[in-house]
Amino acid sequence: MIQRPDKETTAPVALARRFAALSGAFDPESLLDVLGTVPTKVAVAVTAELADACDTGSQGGKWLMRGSVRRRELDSWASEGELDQAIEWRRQLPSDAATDDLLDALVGSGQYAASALQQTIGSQADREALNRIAVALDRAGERAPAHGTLEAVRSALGRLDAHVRAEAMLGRGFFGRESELAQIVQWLAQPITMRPVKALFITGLPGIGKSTLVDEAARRASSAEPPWIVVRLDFDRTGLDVQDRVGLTLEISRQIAIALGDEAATLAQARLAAAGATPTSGPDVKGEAREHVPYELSGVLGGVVGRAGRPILMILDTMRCCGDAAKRIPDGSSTAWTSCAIAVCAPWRPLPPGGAMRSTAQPIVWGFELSSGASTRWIPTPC
Amino acid sequence: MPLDRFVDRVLGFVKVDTAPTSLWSLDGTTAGPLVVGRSLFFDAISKGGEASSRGRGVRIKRRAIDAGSSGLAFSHDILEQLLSRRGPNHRLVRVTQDEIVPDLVADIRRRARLKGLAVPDPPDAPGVAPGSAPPETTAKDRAAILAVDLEALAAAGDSVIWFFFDNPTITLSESSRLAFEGFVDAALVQPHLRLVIAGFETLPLPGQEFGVASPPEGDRSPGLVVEFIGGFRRSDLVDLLTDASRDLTHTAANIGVIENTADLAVLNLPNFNGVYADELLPTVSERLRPQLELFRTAGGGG
Repeated sequence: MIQRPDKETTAPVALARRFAALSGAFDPESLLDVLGTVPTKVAVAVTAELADACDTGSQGGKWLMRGSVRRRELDSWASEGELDQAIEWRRQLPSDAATDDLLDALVGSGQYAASALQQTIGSQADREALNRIAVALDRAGERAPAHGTLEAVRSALGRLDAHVRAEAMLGRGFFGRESELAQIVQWLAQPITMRPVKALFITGLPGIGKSTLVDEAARRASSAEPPWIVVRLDFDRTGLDVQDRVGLTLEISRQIAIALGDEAATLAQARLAAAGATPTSGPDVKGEAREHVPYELSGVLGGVVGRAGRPILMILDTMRCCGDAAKRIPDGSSTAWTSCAIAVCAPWRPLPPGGAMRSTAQPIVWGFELSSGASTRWIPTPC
Repeated sequence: MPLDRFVDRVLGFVKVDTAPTSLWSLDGTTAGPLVVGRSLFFDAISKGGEASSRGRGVRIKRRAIDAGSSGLAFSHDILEQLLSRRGPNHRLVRVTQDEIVPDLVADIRRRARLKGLAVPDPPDAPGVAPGSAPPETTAKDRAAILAVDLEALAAAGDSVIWFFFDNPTITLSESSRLAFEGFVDAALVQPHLRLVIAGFETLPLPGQEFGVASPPEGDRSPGLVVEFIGGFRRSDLVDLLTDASRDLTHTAANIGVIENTADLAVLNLPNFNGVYADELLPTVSERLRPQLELFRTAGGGG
């Protein structure tokens, strides 16, 4: 049975919720300082009520108000014109860095002023600083004056993640494979600007270094002028499913948003709209409605990439059924892109029809064209 | 007192005392938060508890994502109530992401331990060490080890461990995304693990998706039932009233009363093609409560 606050507990519960909503993770004992002297019955009621609204399993035994509850509290005070007063009240109490960040984000002061945030993002701040900002803006929600910069902060974090990935893959250096790299560079020099879709196929024995080769090629491409936007769909990630075109398009747009921080907010909005339910007669699940391309998101994606004026290198790694899939993925997504290159990286297996190849100790780089009429027909072409 | 002296008086009650698979009120009272339009969720959780089910839980998505996430969090409370009725063999671990965790797999392990599950530490030398393979592979490997450990615990205790993942309210890092994907992938194939994933709509996840609670046999590959939340219909109120009537009066529902109450509850409320916005739920709930009180009184409730 859920206990509801009675008259005696209503005010202390409201006070405790206000404290929690305007704090980072907090020690539950600190609530007693906020409440002052209260009867045991009231203290128990407050604790029970707040435990329901908080994640009580946070690190270090601290409590953290759940994001959805916090947003509701903030919205409620804002609608009643009490938010500023609540913030001032909270500032009088002991605080920590996370709490100060939240309060600053809510009023847009200090490093949470829009101009200061733009400067921080532009100055290639480190992960810790960006994480702090992202968390504070997320917690403050749309009440934060600088909430609009959140997507740019997320993009900056995403770029750091991509850098970490590259470091993990290439940190021990990349040696040799100059011939294959030269083939890739030459191929990238002629990106696709119209159909039919062409792709570069890289195959070889397991562990031979196909992914590393592509990573190195991607690293060089993203350092070129203009830098390529690298989109990596690694099908070792089981979340990626060629049957789920909605999911694939969402993932492509997420990665493009990371690469293009300026337009991240536009893409984020389009992604949220595409991820919701579609008006459909069938179930909106993989293998059914989600086989359709989300055209609105696709259109936004095309517009954003077009404005950026940067070519896209799409890497399809660990493909196991790339015949049809390699064609499906860019279909509908790339129509508005200025230029696009697709690299398919696949484990060794009987290759495209017509392409009988020997097993080899070298990765095989192979250009092919996907005929628009017969998606499973592979037409080998010189790289 | 010997049982045979009064067994006839209690036998009827015991026979009907099976755990209900649905809720009409979160706490079973007429004043509690009413549960409207979640029949697919109830069915999916009920079927998901069966060992042979392909549906290994629920993926809850919002029809309109910018509508907020309060409905998602409410799903946890519903799940908690449903599982508590099934007895102690159904364990629930809630994983929230309201703050940044450096290692999501470790955090899931920690949260499972907080629920009394003695999950062992991972091996010192993971199968795929960081740096020796792409991060995707490393994350998948670490998550799979955790899922296997959890499965062993659950199987040994003949229990089912449910994981409820709250929609993150902070930005997910790349490592968290990969760890989450890896855990979902690994947990789906474990017979004693179940998942309820609230939100995460923009994140493609592994496994099959089903639009119904009892998916066809197919190739037996496991997946999650996808439930879309947001908005409700008059028929959802009829379902709620029917359940409440049966629960409170212990007799068959009076269809006429129920239909009339549902009509009054949505009277003059705006709708789009018969779908009412969630914002109207408080109004509708208050309109339903007098009839719920009448049910309670008729059933002899104090």
